[in-house]
Amino acid sequence: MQFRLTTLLGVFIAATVIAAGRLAPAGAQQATPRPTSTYTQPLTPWGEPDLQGVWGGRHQTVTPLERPAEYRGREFLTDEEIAARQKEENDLQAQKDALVQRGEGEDLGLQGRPARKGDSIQNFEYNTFWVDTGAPAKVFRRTSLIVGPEGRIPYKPEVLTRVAYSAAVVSSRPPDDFVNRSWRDRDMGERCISDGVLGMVWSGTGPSQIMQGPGSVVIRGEQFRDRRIIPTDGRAHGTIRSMLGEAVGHWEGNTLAVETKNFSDMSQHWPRDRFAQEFRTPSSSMHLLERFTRTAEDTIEYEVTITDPSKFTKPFTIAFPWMKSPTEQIFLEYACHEANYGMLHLLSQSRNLERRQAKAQGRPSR
Amino acid sequence: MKLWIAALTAGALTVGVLIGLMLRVQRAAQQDERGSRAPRTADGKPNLNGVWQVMNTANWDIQDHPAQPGPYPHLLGATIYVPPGEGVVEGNDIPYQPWALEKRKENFAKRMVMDTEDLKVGDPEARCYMPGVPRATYMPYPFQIIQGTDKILIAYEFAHADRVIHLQKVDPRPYLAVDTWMGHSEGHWEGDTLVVDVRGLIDQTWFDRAGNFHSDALHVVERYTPIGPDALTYEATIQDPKVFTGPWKMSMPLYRHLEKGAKVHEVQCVEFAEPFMYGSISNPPLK
Repeated sequence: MQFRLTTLLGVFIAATVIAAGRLAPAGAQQATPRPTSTYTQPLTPWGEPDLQGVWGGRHQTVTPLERPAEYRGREFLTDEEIAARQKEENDLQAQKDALVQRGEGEDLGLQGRPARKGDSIQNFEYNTFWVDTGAPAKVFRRTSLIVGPEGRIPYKPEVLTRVAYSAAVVSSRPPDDFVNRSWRDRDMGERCISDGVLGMVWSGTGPSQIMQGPGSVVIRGEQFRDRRIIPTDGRAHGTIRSMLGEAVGHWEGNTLAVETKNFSDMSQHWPRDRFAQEFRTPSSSMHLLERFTRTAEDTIEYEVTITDPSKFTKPFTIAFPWMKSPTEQIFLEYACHEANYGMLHLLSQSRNLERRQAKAQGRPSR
Repeated sequence: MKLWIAALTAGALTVGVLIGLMLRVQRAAQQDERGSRAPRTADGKPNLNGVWQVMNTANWDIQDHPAQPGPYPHLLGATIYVPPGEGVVEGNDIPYQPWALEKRKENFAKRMVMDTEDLKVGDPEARCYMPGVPRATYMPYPFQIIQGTDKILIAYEFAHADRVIHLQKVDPRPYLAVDTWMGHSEGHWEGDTLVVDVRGLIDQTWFDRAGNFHSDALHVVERYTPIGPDALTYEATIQDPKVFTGPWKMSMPLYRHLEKGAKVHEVQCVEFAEPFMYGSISNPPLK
């Protein structure tokens, strides 16, 4: 009974909030504008907007991060363009499904989505072809996930050389006699640590799970078991730095606003990262402002504004919806480090290579 | 009216009134106790939200143990030693099968060994592996309980391990298809006690640094019972017919962190484990 009363109260509060027009309107800032007038934000029993559940993120869409040249000056696709591109995605998924049906699913890795003309390496995860959500990727209205008239990452000129370097490294194959001196020669992902907080929202080959209790929101990324515990009890930021940074949140009507800073400087930790994208490698001067607004039973409009004066000439904003499956999604344990035989083999092989090279050159080997 | 009847009536009335008063006092006391016992959630359950930690030495050894030097006294001096402590196992004895008792001794002897050919040798804690259940509870680090509507998250600081306790009915099959480090947890309330059934646990976690271990047949039933606003009793019943001759139980209090802004910090302990794990096969080698 108490629960029912609370629910009724929740519905009443939510209705009042919406009536007061505090629900963020679906406007130009949002990737998929949709009517929100009929949607009532459910509340938790303790009266906060309820965002709980397993949500898909970036991997559900094919919208590139940066705006391709063909859409220069255009922030949105037309209905006809969306329909045409969605058909491509549906057809691609049908091909994948047919492969699986024929028992040739393991070949899916070779059936990667072809890059579009004008795509930059920044636009897709290197492993997009691994991702099969079992449903066609969604084509959103935006021409790029970066909002605004430019739709590009505002790199400082001196950073662009690093971007070009990492693009070149990504597209090149390491020599067969490449020697890893230690685990530090491998990237953070291969070390089973993390792709960082932007990797978490950005790359995620897996979903995110939002869990809530009074005064706390937790975002769990399936990949790397990344976990962000976000207090919403009014506390201020402290001074302790960490890889995923210190997140502090508060509610603005139905929107969860999260400010994250106190990142440790990880740029030294991605020394030879063949896959890292410069924009998401955390630095100690990075600052994030994220907003989560549930606009439908199955949709959270997500946006993140990234500020980092060490890399960017100005802040920029990325927006895309997090989508939820109507059925309960399983969320499995990611035990990567616990079985990282790959690292042991890489390093053992490198020592073997060194011994062989030393022998060939007549040097003493250890 | 005869005097004895009057006396009896008066006596009965007095006893009745006294009993009534006592009951009222008792009920009031119970209510007070319940009031101070545990804060409640909006739906009337004990509110376990908060940051918790044990105050014991069970991670060194879940059984009674005296003070001992740490693993590398010549490197660490008295900075790290084994603090003495009463065990958390009820009755102190663990009913190992004979072969398993030998295995436990071997585990202890090799606890700090890192074998690049065999990752199953040595204490998994040294490698920053997820600690499993119940060890995660009594690691010497805090954990946070986030009590949602139909799921409870326990977020441990060590190895940023965590586990979801499903309070609503879920199909366990996908979760049990492969054994996991933190297992699959299903919970329900028995009065004010949160009872959690944990299955699907992998055979590679230990109970402590003393080499106490289990197999993949491990089945843990945990009970979290509030004993005050800032304390819980934690009980774990351990069943594993491959390793033990019968079930056994551990029990300990959990304490709430009361400092303002208490939190579970982000710790990436893989970075601290890498030199230990990969140092011998790096160039230059770390000894």
